Amino acid sequence: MKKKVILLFMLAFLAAAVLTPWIGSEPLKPANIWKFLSGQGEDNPEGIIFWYQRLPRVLLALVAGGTLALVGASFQVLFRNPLVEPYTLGISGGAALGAFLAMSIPSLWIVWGPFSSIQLFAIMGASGSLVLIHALARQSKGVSIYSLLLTGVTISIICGGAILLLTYITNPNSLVVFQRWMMGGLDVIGYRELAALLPVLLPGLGLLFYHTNDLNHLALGEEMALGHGVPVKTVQRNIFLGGGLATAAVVSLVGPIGFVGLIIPHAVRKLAGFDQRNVLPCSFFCGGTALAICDCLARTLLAPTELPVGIITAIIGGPVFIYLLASRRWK
Amino acid sequence: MTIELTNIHHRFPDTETELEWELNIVRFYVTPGQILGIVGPNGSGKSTLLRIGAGILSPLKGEVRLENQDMKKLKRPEIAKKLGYLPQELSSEYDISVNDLVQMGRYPHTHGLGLLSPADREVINNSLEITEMSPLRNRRLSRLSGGEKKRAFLASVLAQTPKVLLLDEPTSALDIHHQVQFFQLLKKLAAEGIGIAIVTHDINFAALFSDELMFLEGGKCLIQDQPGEVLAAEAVMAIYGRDIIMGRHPQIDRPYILPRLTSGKKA
Repeated sequence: MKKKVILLFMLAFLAAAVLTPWIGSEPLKPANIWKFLSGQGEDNPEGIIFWYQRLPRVLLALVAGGTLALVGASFQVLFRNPLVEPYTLGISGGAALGAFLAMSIPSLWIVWGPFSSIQLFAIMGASGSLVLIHALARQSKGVSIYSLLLTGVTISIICGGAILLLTYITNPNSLVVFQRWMMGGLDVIGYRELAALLPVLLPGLGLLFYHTNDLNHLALGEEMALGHGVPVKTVQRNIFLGGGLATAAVVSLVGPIGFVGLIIPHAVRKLAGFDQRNVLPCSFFCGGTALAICDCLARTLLAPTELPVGIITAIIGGPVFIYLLASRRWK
Repeated sequence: MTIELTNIHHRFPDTETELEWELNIVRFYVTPGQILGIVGPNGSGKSTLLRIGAGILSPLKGEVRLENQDMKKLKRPEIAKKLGYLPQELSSEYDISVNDLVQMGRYPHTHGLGLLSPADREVINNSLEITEMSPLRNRRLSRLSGGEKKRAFLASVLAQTPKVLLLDEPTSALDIHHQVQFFQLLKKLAAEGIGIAIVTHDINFAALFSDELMFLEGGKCLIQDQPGEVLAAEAVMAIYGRDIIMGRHPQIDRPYILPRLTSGKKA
């Protein structure tokens, strides 16, 4: 295992966690923040911005970016396809449909614990897609990985169709909110919402990390993996469910932030090699760092106006992906 | 017996011809320390038989026993500790090194992250030694020739320390020198007590290096016997339409067959 590379990505992750909360349209002085944190001056606006806005936002960026990159890296090996990302399987489509329903139907405007109706219906839509894809892809001899991929893409198209229909018939005010949600954002978050994410997110991440070594064998093809003693069908199912759950949790809160789950794993493989025991933790750290930096740009480029972070990831991610493709370092 | 299959039935529906192809094998076994060559025309069921033996495919009927245990009751890592399977298609999604590939063969003997003990490393070194891949251990798979790649994958299977090897056309697309090299390696492994079944299209190589030949046709075993007996068998002659000439290797007492030129002219 390349421990130094993992350490390097982890240090970058920690540096992003420590440094990025200080960056934003409102300059913050460390002395004021220290006073606030030590209990002096509870009304200090800088302290409130730091503690109640920037810090949870940065934490969410680190967790969301890390999760999307980790799921992308796992799915690319699972489906033996370098273009697969967390959203390929229609989970984000289900989340978007759920979120749109919550935005456009007033009777669905409810709050349940730390969840707003948008988050609640997004997570229900994503989980519903996950279960539906798995059920439809099931054949007599278990779930085939290709039918899983095809079913996922089909569900994504169906959700897209349903969203178009809703877009056509719904109140225009809802469209603005929905369009903003689709761009992805990290702005409406507190510690409660972040903590509420964990019961869905942690089992998903746990399943993915549990199977890191198994993923190496899946890259050799199903028959070779079986020959090595890997319970292939169990591993495939767990990675699909783990990745799906983690994606559902993140998308319900931040919307479909693009490119992180596609590009980061490819970039990481350039440094960390192809051993998934290195690639997965490095992807998590790198994805989190990248999204935290993109969010810094989103809140400072047009300050005091904030850009949705999804715009920044797309603008930066596109050229980076073209560069990675051009360098042809991976098969 | 290391592995024994009895009364195996398996079917694949053919949607184009609406005919059902059926594999029907009364008994298949691999003896420790011996090489069994499985030969026969395309579509005769050689690979299907091997995949059933490796537990990759479940037969519709019949029993597969690995060291006298019902294979259905064994977990995959337990099977992999005893049985090594080399499929026909060998590829890797990523361009890993030979060393990485061979390390992966220790999967059934490790847990969790697959961290290796000194004993595991010794097995890996032995596998690389016996396959003569030690000098190439740091080379990436994309930089290997066809023969080297097959040997690298075989080393990975050997790192499982199996007692039986099931090899599906490991010498296809290899030149004559590399085929000889590969079969000599199998001889060496058999001498160490490993039972080997190898599917091959080259009946002469199979006859030259195997202790027994199994000839399949249409999903059924026509004959299983010493190579000389199999090549001379009426049933096998019937398959090749009597358009073959049989001879004997000038150095060792093994038969070979060549096509008879029907025009009567010298080539």
